[in-house]
Amino acid sequence: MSNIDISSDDLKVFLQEAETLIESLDEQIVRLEQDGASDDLIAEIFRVAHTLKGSSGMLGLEEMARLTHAMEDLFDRVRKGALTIDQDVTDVLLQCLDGISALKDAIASDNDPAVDVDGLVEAIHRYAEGDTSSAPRAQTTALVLGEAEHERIEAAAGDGRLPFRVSAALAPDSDWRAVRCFQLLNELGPLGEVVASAPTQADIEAEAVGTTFHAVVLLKRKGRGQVAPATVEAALKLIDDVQVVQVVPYIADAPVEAPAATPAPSSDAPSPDAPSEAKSAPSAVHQQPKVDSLQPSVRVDVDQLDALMNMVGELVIDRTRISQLSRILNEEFEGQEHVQALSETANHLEKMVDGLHARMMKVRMLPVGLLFSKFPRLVRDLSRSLDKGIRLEMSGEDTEIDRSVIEQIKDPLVHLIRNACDHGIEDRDARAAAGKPELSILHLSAKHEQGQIVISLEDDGAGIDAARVKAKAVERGLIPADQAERMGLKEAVDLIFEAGLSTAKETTAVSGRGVGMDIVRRDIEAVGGRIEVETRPGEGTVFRLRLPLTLATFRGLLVGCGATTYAIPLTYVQETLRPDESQVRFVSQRPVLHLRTRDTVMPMVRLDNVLQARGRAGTKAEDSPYVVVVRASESESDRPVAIAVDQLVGQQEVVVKSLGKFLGRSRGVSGASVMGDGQVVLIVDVPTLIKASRQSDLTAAAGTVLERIAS
Amino acid sequence: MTDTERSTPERRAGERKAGERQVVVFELGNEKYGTEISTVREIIRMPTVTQMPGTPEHVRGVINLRGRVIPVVDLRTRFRLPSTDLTENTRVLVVDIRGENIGVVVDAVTEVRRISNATVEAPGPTATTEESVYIEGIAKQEDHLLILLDLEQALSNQVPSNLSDGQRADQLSENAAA
Repeated sequence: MSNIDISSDDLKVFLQEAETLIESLDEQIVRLEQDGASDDLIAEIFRVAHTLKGSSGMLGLEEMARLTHAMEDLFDRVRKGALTIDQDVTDVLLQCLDGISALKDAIASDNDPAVDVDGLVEAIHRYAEGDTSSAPRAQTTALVLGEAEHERIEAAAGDGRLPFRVSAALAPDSDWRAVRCFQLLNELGPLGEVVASAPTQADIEAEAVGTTFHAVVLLKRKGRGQVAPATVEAALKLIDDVQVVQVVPYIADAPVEAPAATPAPSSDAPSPDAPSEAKSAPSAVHQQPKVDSLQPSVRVDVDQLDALMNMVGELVIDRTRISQLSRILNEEFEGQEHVQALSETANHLEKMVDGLHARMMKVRMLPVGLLFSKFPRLVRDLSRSLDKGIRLEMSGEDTEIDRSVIEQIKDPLVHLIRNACDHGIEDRDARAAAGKPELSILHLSAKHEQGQIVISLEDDGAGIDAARVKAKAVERGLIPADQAERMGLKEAVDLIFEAGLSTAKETTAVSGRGVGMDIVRRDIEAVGGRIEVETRPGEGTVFRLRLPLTLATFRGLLVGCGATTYAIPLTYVQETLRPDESQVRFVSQRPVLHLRTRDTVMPMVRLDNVLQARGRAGTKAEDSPYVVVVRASESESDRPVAIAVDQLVGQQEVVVKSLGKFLGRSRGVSGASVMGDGQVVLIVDVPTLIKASRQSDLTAAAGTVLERIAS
Repeated sequence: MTDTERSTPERRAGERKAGERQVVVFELGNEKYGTEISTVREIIRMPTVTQMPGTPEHVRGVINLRGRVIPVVDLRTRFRLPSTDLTENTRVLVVDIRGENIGVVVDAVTEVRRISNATVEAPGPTATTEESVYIEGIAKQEDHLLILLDLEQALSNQVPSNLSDGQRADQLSENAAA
């Protein structure tokens, strides 16, 4: 953006602040629509909008200040009870907010914003002033592009014609609006191909036009006969009564709806009762994440925090080393004055460093509500576009979780929510037929449970159709038909996490195709978490994510195998044992571990063999002294595997070090750590390891069958 | 020369102006190689290496560099030279490849030398040895030739391809079956 004379520091602070404010407005507006206008909520919205207006005004960001000012006017009418928030008002408000957000992004990236500020302000004022009498009684149909139009746009890209969005505003007192719109369309014709317009040709003929005109036009931008957007702008401006013209590249995802011009129904007859009616809508479960604005706090750059965390991590390692050295010295020179002093200092250092580490971990923790706050808007938009009545309820937003985990689970959660709205919850007809309430509830919750965070997403939809999942899995060749028949409900439902299985009858714009639950599962496992699903036919589905509190450290079981020490995250470890001969059996020459107490048989693999570590001694799994029984999750379908090792070293808090991009996510190893003595240990990627062992198990089973045939 | 030789922006700027460059000279087999000093973070003795499963052969493993875990690549294996035992002179060049530190094992590090760009010739088109793709040029010195290596090229080209999970599991299961 040009002509802004602000120091880059100021701007950075402003942009950070703006982002927070926009996010919180976004959430509050959605709540306003759901719960109705309460005094507290309106006051809070005012405060936030006002702050945004103030700081954007101060920095001379005029357009942003204008938009926020317009929104404030509208909120003012809501506060006075003169305007009821309905879906249309919310739409306009959210469009404005998207506009503000786009302006903010444009400032950040130093681009010219493609935001129709005039259109948005005009739309807002139509509600804010309640001036419906003078507002055109026209239903400006929203400019919505269907599939056919998008196909035309895509096809045109081939011969260098690109889509542009044309917006024009007519003088409000124009007596010839329909004629002007007709002229605009006519003028566009020779310049490019009009893909869609609002008003449409039919609207114009019916004189159903407002004061805004929007169209998407394909302009030739390459080669002979190219047309510049500026040419179009100039041509349209020549038409009488046309006041503002804007021609910007059309982006499919950007809101292209013309600012709604439908007058608010209640604005003619202000009804003070309306808000309180709306307030009585079910809202009990929803808690607002409490942000204590009185607590003094400072903003810290995330990079700074990461750097600090790294240093503290190294301090922890050094601390362990110094304690060890001091103990050794103490044994050797017991009673010597300096050695005594050293060991006291080492003890103190240990305490301080541990305290520092604990405090540092705490600083990295963020309430999960920061992530959740984006979801009400998501669900609202999905609910509208899918034409389903869905309401998101949330609880446990103040549950704290490591920042790095929050970042990693955002995409999987968005996917789960989209999935629940799109496929989980039935459409209106099906719900009515099943005698369910029209409004579906999607419940998102977070809580601490045994040193983990559990995030659940529960819908009250139709549940997962196990039979269809099975049929699909057989059809796609994931499992043989006889295995499918033997599968229980839970096992069958777990199949949705397999790659290449999507049971949606048709792909939709919301959930798309391809990216399935297997990706979600992979992402969750990548952060050391697990995903579980529970479904009740006709009643709904719950997805549960079990996540580590932090990615920076975990409790690990250290084992020695060959020359290398490995760390196995304790969450996967079921038990460790020294198998005796009677417990080790062979199935087609492969060792299996038979645990009589649990009555389970599991494949037995040697850690260094399955990882194919170099320079291994070639010890066989059955000859190894110890086994660690690991399991990907508690789920029935996740069978345990016995991992044979040479040595059990002990349990320890393991500080995770990234392996960097050069090595990538090495097969079977998810990271590394450094022990107190400087030794590097490798962190075992248990889910991948189990998958590999079980696949070789299947191969073994196939081998048995072949042997039988042969004999 | 000391074991830690850091480059500074000043030094780099100086070398550009003068139409010469500063290279770290190291030995590998019978050849002397040079690499731009600006990519070299430090030079250390061979530490204990932890082998890393599932990596290409020339990745020796990972080491602990003051609390950070960094990969170590064996340049001999990388260039298909016969491997030798470690000696007193074996060194690890810690180089910066796209913001990541990577250790490179070489037979010996001899010196840091300024070489005039005028003495540098582009590698001949006939060069077909394994490492020729990574050769930036050949610097003629009084008594020998110095091969200027582009370590970033030499190392980046061999970043293990990112297998999909499925493939990874397939490979692992083959290992498990073996």
